Amino acid sequence: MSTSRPRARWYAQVVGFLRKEVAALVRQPRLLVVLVAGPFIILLLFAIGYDQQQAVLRTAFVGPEGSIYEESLGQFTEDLQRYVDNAGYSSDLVSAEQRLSDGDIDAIVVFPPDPLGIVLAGEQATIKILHDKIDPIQQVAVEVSSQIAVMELNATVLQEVVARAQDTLVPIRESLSNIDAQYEVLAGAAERGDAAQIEASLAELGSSGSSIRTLGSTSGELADAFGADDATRASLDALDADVSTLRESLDRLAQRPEDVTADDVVGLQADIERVDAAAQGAATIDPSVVVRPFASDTASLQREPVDVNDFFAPAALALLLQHMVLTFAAMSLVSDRALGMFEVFRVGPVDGVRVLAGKYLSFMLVGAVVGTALTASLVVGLDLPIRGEVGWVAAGVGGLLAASIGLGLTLSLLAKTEVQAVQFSMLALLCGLFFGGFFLDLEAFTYPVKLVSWAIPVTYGTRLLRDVMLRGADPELADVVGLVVTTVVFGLSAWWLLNRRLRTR
Amino acid sequence: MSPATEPVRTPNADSGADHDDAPMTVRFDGVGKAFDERWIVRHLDVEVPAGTILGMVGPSGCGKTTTVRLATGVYRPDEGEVTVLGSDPTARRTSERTAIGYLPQSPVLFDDLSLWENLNFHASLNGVPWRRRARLHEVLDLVDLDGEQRKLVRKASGGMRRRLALAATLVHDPPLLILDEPTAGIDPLLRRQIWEHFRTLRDQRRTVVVTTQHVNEAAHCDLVAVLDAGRVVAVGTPHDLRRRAFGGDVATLRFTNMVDERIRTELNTAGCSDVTLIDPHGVRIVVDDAASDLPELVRRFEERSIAVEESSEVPVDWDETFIALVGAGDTA
Repeated sequence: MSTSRPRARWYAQVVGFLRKEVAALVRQPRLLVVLVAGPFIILLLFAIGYDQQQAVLRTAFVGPEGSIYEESLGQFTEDLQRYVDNAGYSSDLVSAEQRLSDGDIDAIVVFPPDPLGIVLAGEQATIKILHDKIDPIQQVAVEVSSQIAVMELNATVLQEVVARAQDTLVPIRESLSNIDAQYEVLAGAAERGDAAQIEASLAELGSSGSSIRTLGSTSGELADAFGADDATRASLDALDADVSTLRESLDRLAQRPEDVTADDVVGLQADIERVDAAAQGAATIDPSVVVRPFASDTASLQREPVDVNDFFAPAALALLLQHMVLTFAAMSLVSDRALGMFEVFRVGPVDGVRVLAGKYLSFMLVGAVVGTALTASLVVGLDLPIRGEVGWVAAGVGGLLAASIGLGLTLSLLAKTEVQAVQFSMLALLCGLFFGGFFLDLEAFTYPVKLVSWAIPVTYGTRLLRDVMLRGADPELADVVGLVVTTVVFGLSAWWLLNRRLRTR
Repeated sequence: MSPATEPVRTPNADSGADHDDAPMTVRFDGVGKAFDERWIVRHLDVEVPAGTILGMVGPSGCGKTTTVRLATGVYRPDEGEVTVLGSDPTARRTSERTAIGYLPQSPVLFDDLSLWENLNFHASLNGVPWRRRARLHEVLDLVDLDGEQRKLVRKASGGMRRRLALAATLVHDPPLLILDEPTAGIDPLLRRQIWEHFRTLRDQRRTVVVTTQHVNEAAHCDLVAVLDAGRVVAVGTPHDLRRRAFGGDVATLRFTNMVDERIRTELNTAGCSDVTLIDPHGVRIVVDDAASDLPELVRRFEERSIAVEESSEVPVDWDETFIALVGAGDTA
């Protein structure tokens, strides 16, 4: 029996491995079900059962009866409904604590009994948040919700205070209108010689002037705080100066109201016209804006919405494919070794490159078939979008499979037994889950731990698939390079380790 | 372990004479292999001419598998030199390794593949050309598995696995077969069939190196190397080894009268050794050459009016031969 020529033999050997591996996998339907259908079903259950509302805290509020908090609670909880589900307001802390202990509510917000007194005493009133969470993530959620709640409450109280002061801090148009009206009344009283009315009108004019000045002063401080330009600042200064001049004139007339004549009133008109002109050119603000200078209007640059399932599906696909081919590769070489195949390799016309080429080809084929089926299932079953180029998805999956097979082969050559190989592949799965960006942002990790993220193929696969499928963008160059580098590095390490194993002893 | 200090060299399979000039397929020249500073085999001096069946016989743990791995190039000797098919087996290039058919002690078969798929895989590994269906059927037929090829290995019996593994070794028809216990777990009828095939291969000038724990299988070999505790205690043809074990051929004589002192004296005088009474009328003796010595003995007794009812050479049990050889090796 003659053997085939070297190149034909090379192909025959690689195809031999391909046939053997594929046949062995097809003959193990349970393994395929466990490795492929199992995680897919888990993902499906997650998609169906995950309740985003779970993060909303059922919160009871405790404070003095009839306080400003109770009055503003309706608006307060409406603004915070993404974080807080209002479980009622009462003054009974003990029963609220009992509800917390019974698990009926998630948190209690305890307002101070006399907040105004504390604030007027120059101290900050403390709002206590009680909860029974032990999960650090939930604790953070409570803290964040609490901070937002306190900020919102501060703003609500301040708005209430400002609203009460709106009599004096009215919008500038209203003040100017008051001044014009009182000027007419003052002019009539001067003609009639009605000293009492003159005194009252002068007081009203003074009040409106003060309001304008205060508003100008507040606007000036805000303008400074936000870095307003020189022209804005100069217009506010001019307004302040003109109001001062008007106030001085009014004060002078108020010293002897019985002597105010029609000529005095005409002289006052020039001051009022200057204030009016200055007010036209000055940029003053509405008092309600002073309390809440900012409002949020969140919008993503991403045109299409991405829900939780969409966000996790590409990562789950990447993690699943990595785990599957990695496990196949790890189990394959280690079982070959346990079976005594390495001894046959050493004696026969087989080298490490052919063995690895056969393994790569086999698991790439199986991975591609499973990957295609899974992607189609996700697109059809879970409405997962593919907004970018399908070719990039295929390339990303191909790179992920190649790098993962290399990692699996490397792990299998480091493992001494099949049990160890399974343990290694489980560790790789855990690494992918925690460090691969599946549900924790990569930016949350610091170096050198972050190197773990960059060492596992699923990190690049997840980022690449999310970019292409969800953003509709081409992948980042770093992710493409990452997949290429991990493929080469793990492939070379597997080749080196296998050659060591096949060496004559 | 302290292997024998005097190495045992291989005689010519046909003539019993040394033949350094003949082409040797396998040559162990003072070979030793140690693991963890413990010698597993040492002072191996065995030569296997082309077209010979060499049987390596010995108890479990005597170094047979280590010797086989030295021949296949899996192990590198720590002392001495191994030459297989004219070169160092550890230095052969990948493309040159099709010349050996190797059957490890444990069959390398995949449970989830059918018998055919396993055989096809091994054929691929060994570079058998693509159109190989007829060849696969041929080797399956040889090991009596043709018709069973669809069966999964996990459902096959131990004997079937063993036969399939043997078929996988033969599939590329190599000039040298190195088989580590190929007949373990195979029934006697099939064992005989396999040995017949080995002889057919031998007749085609192929060389077969076989290890076995079935000492009686030594009878099928052209050359037998008896191993014990990591050393070769004897190498030779089966006939030579038998003679070496007992000092000659073993025969029995049965007399009409009871064996008495006169008969014993005559036997000793005639040069028979190891005279053992096997019953009141019969003795077992060892002679140099049963074919010529027995008729002479019968004539001698007849001349002295001692009637010999029966004389015959005894086909000595190989277990006994092995024990005798190992015993002799221990005392050497």
